[in-house]
Amino acid sequence: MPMKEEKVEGPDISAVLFPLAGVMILVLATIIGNAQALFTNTSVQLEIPKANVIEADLEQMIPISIDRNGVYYYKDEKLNDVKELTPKVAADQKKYAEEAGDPELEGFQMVVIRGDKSIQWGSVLEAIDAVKRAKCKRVVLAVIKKRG
Amino acid sequence: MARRPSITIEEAQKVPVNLGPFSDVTTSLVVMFMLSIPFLVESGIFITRSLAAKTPQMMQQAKKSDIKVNLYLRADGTVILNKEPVDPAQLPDLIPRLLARSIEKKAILTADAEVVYESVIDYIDMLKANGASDVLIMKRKAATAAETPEAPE
Repeated sequence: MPMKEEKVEGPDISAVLFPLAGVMILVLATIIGNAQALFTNTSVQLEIPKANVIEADLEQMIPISIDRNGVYYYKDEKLNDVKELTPKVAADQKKYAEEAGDPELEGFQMVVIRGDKSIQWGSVLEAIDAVKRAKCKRVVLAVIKKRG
Repeated sequence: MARRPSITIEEAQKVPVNLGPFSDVTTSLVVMFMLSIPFLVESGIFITRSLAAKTPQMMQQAKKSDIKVNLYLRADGTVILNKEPVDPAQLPDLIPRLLARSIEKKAILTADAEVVYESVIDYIDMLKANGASDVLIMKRKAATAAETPEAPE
């Protein structure tokens, strides 16, 4: 007597794909929402001015932010005075040269000044002066590319 | 009106799910995200060779060099180009002509501390877009007129 073949039901593919798809959408939404923070090494949210001319891609840089109230941030750390910037930047530049194993590279790590578009130019100048006192040779003003 | 027959949960789970539209939407989202990256991500304008914090001596040195564009933005909105007040709308025509006379094509930009940052960036952008190889940022001392040689006479 031939044995009756028992049909074994496999797992329902849609039951696996639906949660996966949901997670994918969530991950995508998170990446899109945090794109700016991921690429700028800081979580300080600012309205960065726009420009047509773009000269530098910001990689491995030291971010200095100035919010709309004129408060300075070194990376994510809030500073009480702009003068605190100089020793912090100088220490980072020294560390950068040590890690690269070339003392001549001191001062060559890019420093990015991220200013809110509504602040006064004087606040940015003070940050530039503080960074220059730390003997930084590559200073960049952060901008976002204009559309069109 | 005929009533739709109701189905049980077990039956509903066996209905094949069409994931095509979902994958289309996800793909479009990813493509749109990738295309918008340049407009989301911050870039930068170099001010490496800035002369910030330097005053009359460096101004004199700059005068001796072949710098033909010296732009000063005043807090009241006036724009001074080489000691002459100009209409900002004329700058895109004037700047390339002035820079054509210069070998190094450097420009000096000075602004009062009260000027809005976005406006300064607009002028730096305009100078670079019109051919300036370097924009030297100068700091003005608010003190005396003697220290502000570019001011209109």
